[in-house]
Amino acid sequence: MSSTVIGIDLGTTNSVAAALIDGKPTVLESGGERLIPSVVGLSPGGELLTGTPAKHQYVVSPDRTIKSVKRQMGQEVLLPLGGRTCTPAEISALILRKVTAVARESLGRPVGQAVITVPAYFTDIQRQATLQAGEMAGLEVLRIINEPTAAALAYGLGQQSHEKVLVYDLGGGTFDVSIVEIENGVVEVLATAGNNHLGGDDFDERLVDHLGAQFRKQHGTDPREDAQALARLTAAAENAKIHLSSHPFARIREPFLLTAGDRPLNLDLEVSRIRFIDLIEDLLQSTIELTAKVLEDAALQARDLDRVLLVGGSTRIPAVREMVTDFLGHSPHGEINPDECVALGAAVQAGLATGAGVDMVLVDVNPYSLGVRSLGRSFGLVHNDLMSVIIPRNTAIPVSRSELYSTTSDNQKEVRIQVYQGESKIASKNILLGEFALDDLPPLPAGEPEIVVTFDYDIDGMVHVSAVERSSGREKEITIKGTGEKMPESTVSGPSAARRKAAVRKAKKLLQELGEHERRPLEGLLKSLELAEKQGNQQQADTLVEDLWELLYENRG
Amino acid sequence: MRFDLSFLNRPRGKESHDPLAEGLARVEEALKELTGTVSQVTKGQFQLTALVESQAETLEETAGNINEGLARAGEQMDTQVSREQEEKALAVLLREFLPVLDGLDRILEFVNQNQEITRISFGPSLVEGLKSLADRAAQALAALGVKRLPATGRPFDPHRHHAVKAVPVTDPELDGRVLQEVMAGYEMRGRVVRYASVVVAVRQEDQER
Repeated sequence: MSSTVIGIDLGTTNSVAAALIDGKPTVLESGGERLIPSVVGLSPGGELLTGTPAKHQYVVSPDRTIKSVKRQMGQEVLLPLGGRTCTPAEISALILRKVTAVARESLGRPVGQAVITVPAYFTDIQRQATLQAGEMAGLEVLRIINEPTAAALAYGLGQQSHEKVLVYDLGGGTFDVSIVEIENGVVEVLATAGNNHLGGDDFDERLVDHLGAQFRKQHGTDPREDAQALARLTAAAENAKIHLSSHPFARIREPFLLTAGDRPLNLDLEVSRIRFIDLIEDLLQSTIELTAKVLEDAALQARDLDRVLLVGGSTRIPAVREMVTDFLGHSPHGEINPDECVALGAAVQAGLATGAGVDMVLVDVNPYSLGVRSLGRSFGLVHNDLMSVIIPRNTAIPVSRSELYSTTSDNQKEVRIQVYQGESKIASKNILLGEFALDDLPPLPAGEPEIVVTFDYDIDGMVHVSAVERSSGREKEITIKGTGEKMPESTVSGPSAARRKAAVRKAKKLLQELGEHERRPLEGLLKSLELAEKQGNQQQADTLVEDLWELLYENRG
Repeated sequence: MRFDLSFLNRPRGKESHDPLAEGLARVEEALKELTGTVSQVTKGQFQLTALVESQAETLEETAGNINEGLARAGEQMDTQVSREQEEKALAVLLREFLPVLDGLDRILEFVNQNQEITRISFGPSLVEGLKSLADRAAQALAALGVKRLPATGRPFDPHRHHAVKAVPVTDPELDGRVLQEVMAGYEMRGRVVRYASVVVAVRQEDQER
């Protein structure tokens, strides 16, 4: 195969290319860019700009720059680009040309064929326009597939099963929710709903407004009225939003943001995750209402769904995941990079369409939920054995998450941090991995201390747990192994371990030589031994090892 | 050696003290013990052999892993990708420190716009000290191969600048030029690490369209 088939997510704000490399779906990047802005422009000097440079000139030349052309695909309009006019398909073709160039540079090979994704609600006319755009870009478009379908493919769904999948796609500028039914590779879209003008950009705006208003209260001037200050404030707000996805607080510092006469004014504000969610609550709620609508349109209940997938960068916000989980009663999947998931799925489809061997999208995830034991409310009753999950299972690792806790009695001197692993809502029913105490707490009323507990799960599977009391700075931490059962030292190494291993090895070799009837006692013994090891029952394991040696000796032939 | 053991079949008295019979009984006992010990030794031998086999396999596997690891390490040392990785790491490091450099820019800006008052309040050394610090920063960047992207006064270049605001002007000389740098841009060995955020002048008529 001299040219490669690629998968392209042609998005409203950004586009992404992916391909199968050694069978693995992989995002293609060039010059450090993985997400290519879906923007086309003509510079005042007549240079054609696509992607990031086009985005850069938008403010200066709005009449020579075209953004979000996807919203107009299929429409009979002509869009002005400098002195010329273009159809939406032609503009999309220019974006696809840029995406193809990035793919070609990344692969080091020519790219001739592609699978392109479109929203599930696209009409035939809109799909035709997309197909046309691909052809104008010099691509042979093998398939046009729906974005929710691509997401499902990325997660390996529906290949040999029958599943009803809900895809919740919250991006930078648009929200789409769809229910698709997949059976043995055949996909049917049952219902879709969405809001073309709702996304992460709106969340940024709310935060900027909040910060601007706070600043004005403090200093008397509004930074939003100064171009320079607004630009810096916007960038800071975006960073804070991202930070709040894994920390309960974000500190936003912009020294010398404005001057009042001859006095410099500094911005130094803190935003809590709770405050941020308050600011965007109504927007998030509207996505839930649309999710309810899509269930209604598909004549399904939440419990009829087999899977829920989270797609789009804004689904990284923990509150989004929580709301979806609460509303649907399903733990949604979000471990595949939500910005790249659709492109990866398109690459999978590209592989399937050309008969190439397709590997799964491999993501390192933590297999069990990790959290701490806490006091809380469950079914209206207060109880102190609640599992407060900090890193839910199937989160892509390495990952770092923090949550906020407090004390339950006045002047409480210490808090016990007990780290648990498991899925039960009752902490003590899960596995206790470790514990420590944060002591010497400053005397404060119950519920006032702010104790931030951070779980840092690194690529080696070690979990670093730290607890910090914010007002005093008191801090303690421990490191534990994140997964696996705990075995006493002697069972892992040492002479008795060597004897055990030798016996098991010999037994396994012997099994291959024995007949059906003779195998059973040996197999049974091996199974019992495995069980005893898992349970950490040293004595039982030793006894079984001796039995094993007897049996092996008898059968030594 | 052949023993005539037929005498064993002779009826014996209850309390006959027969040294031969006793001796034979003891030999029988000893033989039983010996058989037992030999079988123990054989069992132990069996286990020992199995143990040695198992350890040998473990050693073989470990040796294989080590060889694989060495081969891979050798490959990694040979590739030229390490240069690219080094640059990537440097870019990440730089990005983390940019807010600090930005802060320095802001202070300098303020001080430059309020030179009189600053000098009155703090004497000339504050301004000089800050300028000296800024030079030192530029020096450090230069050592890393990092250059600041020229912006203010230059023609707007979308490959290096990100326009955050367009300001209408009437002077055609200023058209398309960067009026103000909101945030500095930097490049490292020809590749842009961060685009400069700028305010650009646009001729009046264009804005009205």
